[in-house]
Amino acid sequence: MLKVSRLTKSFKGRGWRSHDVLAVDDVNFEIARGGSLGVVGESGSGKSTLARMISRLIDNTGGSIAFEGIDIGAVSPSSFVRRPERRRIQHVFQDTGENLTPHLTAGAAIADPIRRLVGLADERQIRLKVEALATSVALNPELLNRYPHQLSGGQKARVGIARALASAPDLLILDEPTAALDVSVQAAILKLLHGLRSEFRLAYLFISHDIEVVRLMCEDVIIMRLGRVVEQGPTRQILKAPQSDYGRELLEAVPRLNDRKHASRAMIAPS
Amino acid sequence: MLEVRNLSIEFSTRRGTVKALDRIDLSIAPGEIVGLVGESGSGKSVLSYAISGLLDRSARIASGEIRWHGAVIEPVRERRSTHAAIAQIFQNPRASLNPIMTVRRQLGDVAGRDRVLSLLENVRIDPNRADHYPFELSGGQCQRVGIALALGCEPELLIADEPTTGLDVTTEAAIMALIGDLSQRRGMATLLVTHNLALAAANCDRIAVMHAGQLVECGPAEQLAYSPMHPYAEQLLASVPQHSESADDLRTVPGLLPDLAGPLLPCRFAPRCDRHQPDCDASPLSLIARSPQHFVACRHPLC
Repeated sequence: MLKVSRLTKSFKGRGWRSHDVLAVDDVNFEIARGGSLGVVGESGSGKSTLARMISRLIDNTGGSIAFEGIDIGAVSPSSFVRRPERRRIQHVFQDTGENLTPHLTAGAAIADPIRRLVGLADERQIRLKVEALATSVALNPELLNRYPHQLSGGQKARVGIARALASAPDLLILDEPTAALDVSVQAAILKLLHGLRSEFRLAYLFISHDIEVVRLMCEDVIIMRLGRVVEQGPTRQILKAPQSDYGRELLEAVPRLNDRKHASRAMIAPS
Repeated sequence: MLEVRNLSIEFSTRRGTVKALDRIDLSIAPGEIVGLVGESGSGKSVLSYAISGLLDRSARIASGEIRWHGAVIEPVRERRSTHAAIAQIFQNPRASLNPIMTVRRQLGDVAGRDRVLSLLENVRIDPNRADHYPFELSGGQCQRVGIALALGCEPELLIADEPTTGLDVTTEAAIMALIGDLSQRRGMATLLVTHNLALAAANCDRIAVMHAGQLVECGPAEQLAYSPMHPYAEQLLASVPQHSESADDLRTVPGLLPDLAGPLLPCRFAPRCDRHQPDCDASPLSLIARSPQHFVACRHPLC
């Protein structure tokens, strides 16, 4: 469904000190319908830039993004809004708190893409659709009248996901959807996303810095560093036997509940 | 070195009095790393601000005290007079740096100009970044500058409030190794505030679990990670992705945190607890020692 080839993004350096920055350098991957690909890497490795190019929020400077055979990489971000593919690729942002319009209620935020992208005009139908979406993401319909600041982090994450699902997309680009959430809320959102994927036959491009989250959510994974892909393949296989030095370093560094980093340290009895 | 005794803190708001902390007991010894975990809204940050002396004037101490080397210190910013060697790493890295000063000047102010480069090296920042302003750095880099600033004043106690959120695991490991090294070499004590249980289990000597302003369990990290006693600690551990084979196995803590401005039960976890018994609501409960170092505030613990 999605085939990314030799995708590149360089940012022009500004000011006398700076030089051009190659944020994404020659990235290649494919995602099948209903498939899932995780992108792991440190902050600044180009994960979000990659995601933003595919959802056409920013333009690529090289390579192609073939969505069902059409190179959407050749479509400028400003004209992409009028393309039929716009409805089918949806972006879920990292911190939903900052990405929901503060003066729109949760219900209005979810209704917006139904009006704009699906083209539904009948208010009663829109309301029914919004309520159905709220049910899909396990959001209490009573909360639809609330504004973002009246919702908890987990509830805002659910609104963001419902909003992305509103246009019946085929591909969801999830940019750290649980980074701002607690472990137990994160668990609830991950379970929700996992269920939605099979319910709506969605494909996921899942950006995360947490390899454990990617292990639960994605069949395939790419590990990025400084804009380049250093490792790519089935998640299970890479977790078991990483091939690159950075992949090994990354897996080694994951804190584990059963691996005490300072086990040898003498315990000092509290006074 | 640091002793928090029976500390209760309330905030007066338009909605009523928010009982943010309820009779907290916690001590930290030199060289010790203590993890403070719990959901957002559990009072972790209020407790860490109280220890750093950064609480707002609207805070009222309902009971208890904080002692630093035996002397009482004030949790409220305006009233703290002692210059205790306590440094804090803040949650929001960009907001805690001075936007109109370069990294070099900020670090130089705190630690002396000659130490700037070695401090940056410790937190894995390219020395070329020293002459940049905070807005020219990424979030992760700002976070690391904040850590360098806190460590630059050579504190006796470091309060690290979610120090590694937004950093990748390799940098996180480097930062934790640095903190571990300082605690070992210089006897720096650390309170690591985090919701990452795996991070706390891997790096801390002891872990304290908070729920809705109450300390529900406190014990050696290994014991707590393997055999938690409080039902909340157990549920929190089960929601860590590492524990699950697939997303379907993930468990979540049912229910929500209670409204801290409303009427509260003696055990604030009772409405969410599957082990709740009538005697749970009987009388205020305090930490019960299950072993010399392991305390739990529960009448029906798991083991």
